[in-house]
Amino acid sequence: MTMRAPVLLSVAAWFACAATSFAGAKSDSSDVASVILATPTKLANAAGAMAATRGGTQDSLAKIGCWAIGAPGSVTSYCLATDPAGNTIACSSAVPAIAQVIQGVNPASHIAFTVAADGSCDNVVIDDGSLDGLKR
Amino acid sequence: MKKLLSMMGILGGALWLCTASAGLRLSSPLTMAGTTASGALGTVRNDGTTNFINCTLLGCPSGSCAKYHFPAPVSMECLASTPAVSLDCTSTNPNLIAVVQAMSPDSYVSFTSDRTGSNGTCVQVAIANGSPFEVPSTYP
Repeated sequence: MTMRAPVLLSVAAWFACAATSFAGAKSDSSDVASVILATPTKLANAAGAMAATRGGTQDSLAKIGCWAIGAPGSVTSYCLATDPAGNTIACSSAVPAIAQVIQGVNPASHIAFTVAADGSCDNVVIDDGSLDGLKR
Repeated sequence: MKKLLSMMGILGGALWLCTASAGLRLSSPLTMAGTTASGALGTVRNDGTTNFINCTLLGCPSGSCAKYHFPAPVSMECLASTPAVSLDCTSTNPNLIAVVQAMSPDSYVSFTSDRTGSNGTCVQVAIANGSPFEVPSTYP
């Protein structure tokens, strides 16, 4: 299995959801931030589109995003997600690779991340493309 | 004379409005030819079809990459698809990764793989950000 398999599966699932409610290939409200809390056998992870999450109902708690804090000699990256029910997970990382990836976040990005047991970011995946639009 | 000046003012205003709202706008639908796919994200998103073009950045601490089948701490993948054909490629080249980082919601994207179909290696990625490209549709 190559790295493409999980990415392609993710895009395929995302595409399938989008196709149910839009004529074109677009993500929709089903891409509001979702959070899966850690279990003894699985790491916590979150995924969602920035625009769909921002465009949810006004009383929703949902949010998802990544940011970085730079200092001379170091960059620390953070990702955080809260689902509509209020479940929140977050991770941080001093790994330059993670900082590089979150530089790709824009207002229409789809973000996914996994949190290691120590609270560090175990992976971060940023999708940019025609599947995501902007919040009006 | 007063009437003439007034008419000239109205005409000038109309011309200004025309000038201000007549910037170049390009429609750039998804095109796939051989090992290259390209299109403006806004045009592809708005075209009412199931076509899409997408680029992904993947990051992991080096100790975790194998677990997720990521080839390196930072990598990228571009994927374009129509009902008839799809093309995807990946790369760990820092130059290509830097270009993908520059994507915005209304970018024009073009990528070239070393082969047709899937599992290719990206040999070129181009991102253009500019006013001619269509803005993607919005969520209500």
